[in-house]
Amino acid sequence: MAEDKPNWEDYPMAATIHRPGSATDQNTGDWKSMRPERDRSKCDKCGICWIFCPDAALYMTEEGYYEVDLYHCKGCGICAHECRKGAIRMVEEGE
Amino acid sequence: MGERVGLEVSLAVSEAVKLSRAEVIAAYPITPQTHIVEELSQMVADGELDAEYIMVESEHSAMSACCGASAVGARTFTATASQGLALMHEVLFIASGLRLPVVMAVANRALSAPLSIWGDQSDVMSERDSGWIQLFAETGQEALDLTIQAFKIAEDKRVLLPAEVNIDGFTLSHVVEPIEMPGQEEVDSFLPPYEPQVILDPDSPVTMGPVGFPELYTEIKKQQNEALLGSYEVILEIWDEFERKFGRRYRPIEHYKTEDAEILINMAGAMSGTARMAVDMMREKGKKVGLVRTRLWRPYPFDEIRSAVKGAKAVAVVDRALSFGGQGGPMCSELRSALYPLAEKPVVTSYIAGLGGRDITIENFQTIVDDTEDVLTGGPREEYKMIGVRSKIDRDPGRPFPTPAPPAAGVLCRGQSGLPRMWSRPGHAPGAEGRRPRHHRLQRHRLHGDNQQPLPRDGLAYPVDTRRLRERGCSRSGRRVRHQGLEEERTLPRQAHQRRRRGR
Repeated sequence: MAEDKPNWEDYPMAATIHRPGSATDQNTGDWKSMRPERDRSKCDKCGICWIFCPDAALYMTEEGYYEVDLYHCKGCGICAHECRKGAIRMVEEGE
Repeated sequence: MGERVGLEVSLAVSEAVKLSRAEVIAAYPITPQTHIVEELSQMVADGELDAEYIMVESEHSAMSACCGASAVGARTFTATASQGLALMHEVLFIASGLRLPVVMAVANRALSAPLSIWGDQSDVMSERDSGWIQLFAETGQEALDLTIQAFKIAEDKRVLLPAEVNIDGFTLSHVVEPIEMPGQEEVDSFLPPYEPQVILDPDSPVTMGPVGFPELYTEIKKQQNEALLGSYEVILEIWDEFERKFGRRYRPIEHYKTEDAEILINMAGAMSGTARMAVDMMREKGKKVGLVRTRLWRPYPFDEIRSAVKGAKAVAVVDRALSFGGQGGPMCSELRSALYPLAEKPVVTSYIAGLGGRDITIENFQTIVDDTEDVLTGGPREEYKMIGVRSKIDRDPGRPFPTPAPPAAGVLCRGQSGLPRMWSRPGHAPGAEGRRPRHHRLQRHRLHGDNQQPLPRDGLAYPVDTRRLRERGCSRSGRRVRHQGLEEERTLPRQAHQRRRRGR
């Protein structure tokens, strides 16, 4: 059958996923229409965006800033909405 | 062997659940299933059954709780009927899709509206395609045995699918029957504790029921269907084991006086008992009649049913459910499809009876067999017939199906009454005084949209070359129809008929 894709016999029963966190392997957010852009000059590293992100798409850099993993960010805009400093701005993808 | 007791069948099902050592029961009471879960809650409260009894607020929640309990590895049971089963609908597919071996008893009852608490099989037939293993019991003993077996079948590693035991509401659920109650040790040796393959466990997390993207969903459904089809062999194997242990033999199709039978009755459920009596009585009168009872409904036993009806001239299928606007009885359409590929097959006639708690009497079965005989000898044949329905055009109890009046030229004849649908009431035949039924005018309006075209005054309200259609033995929609005076042609294949028309 299909060369690289598994056949029905190959899948675990009922498509159960046996490895937790396997979504990190997938680009679950590459369909977004808006992406957050961050202004480090306004950011005070409070971490509110990191707390509120529903997809755990934010990570902390070594300097203590929070950056976005754009492959997992869906562009929901919650971080921009919650940021007290106005350091996050949603921009159209493709801009 | 166990002791023989007289017991209400609902309570026998509860006993079976107790003997099967169910660990979680989540249920909502609904007539006529109530006694089953009432008894189980009592057993749990009295400490007779070491199970968690979850009182839920609806059947949707009952099935959801069962799914959750089964997903953590518990042996799980619920019971419902009618509206309750309908409310479970969504979650039934989740149980089968997640391959959770939940066992459910359904005390079959009609669906509202009009509200009916009485028995028929419309509830289970509406869930036919939910991916559950579906079994029909005829007797109390069978209800008990099938419930115990259902756990073993459902939990088999090769199956892992939910299973449903159908017992007819009231006519089976509420009757007291002699039941051989197996001992706990016997059941324990037949039914070991459930060994789940995958469970929800915080120490070893898994995701059950992830999003099935289009590139995955088809394969998972194929997998599920293969499991259901494959369960057939497992069921036979488990029934063999049951027979060895308990001495009672179970097969997907039950035969009664079928060896030399010319006309077979095919049905499922408790009213097969009456069918047996009717078969005996007709046999006394010299009619070669038999009964093939469907016990296993899903997976459908294609081969068994084919060999069961082989050699018979006709099979009369009696359905306690009606597929509205379709072929009539769901069991009949299934049998028709099973037989269609065969070169030599019996004539299949379809009857709807026993809806909403109405009895199917011995006389009804005689009527059914008489009508099927009539079809065999060239009498009128219809897609399906409703037995015992009161109708203005048939007031003669000795003549259950009306001989249709000769239709007027250009009128296509179909529908259950045998009269053209448009004039299905007396007084509305062509030429008769009085107004045509209202729906006729509606149809005319709909088909002609803006009413620009002139309408014919009689015959069909829309322009169809009825003469040509009639000669081809077709209705407007292409379906073959019976037409007075064309009975003979009807039975011929179309090409043969055309050859004949061309004088060859």
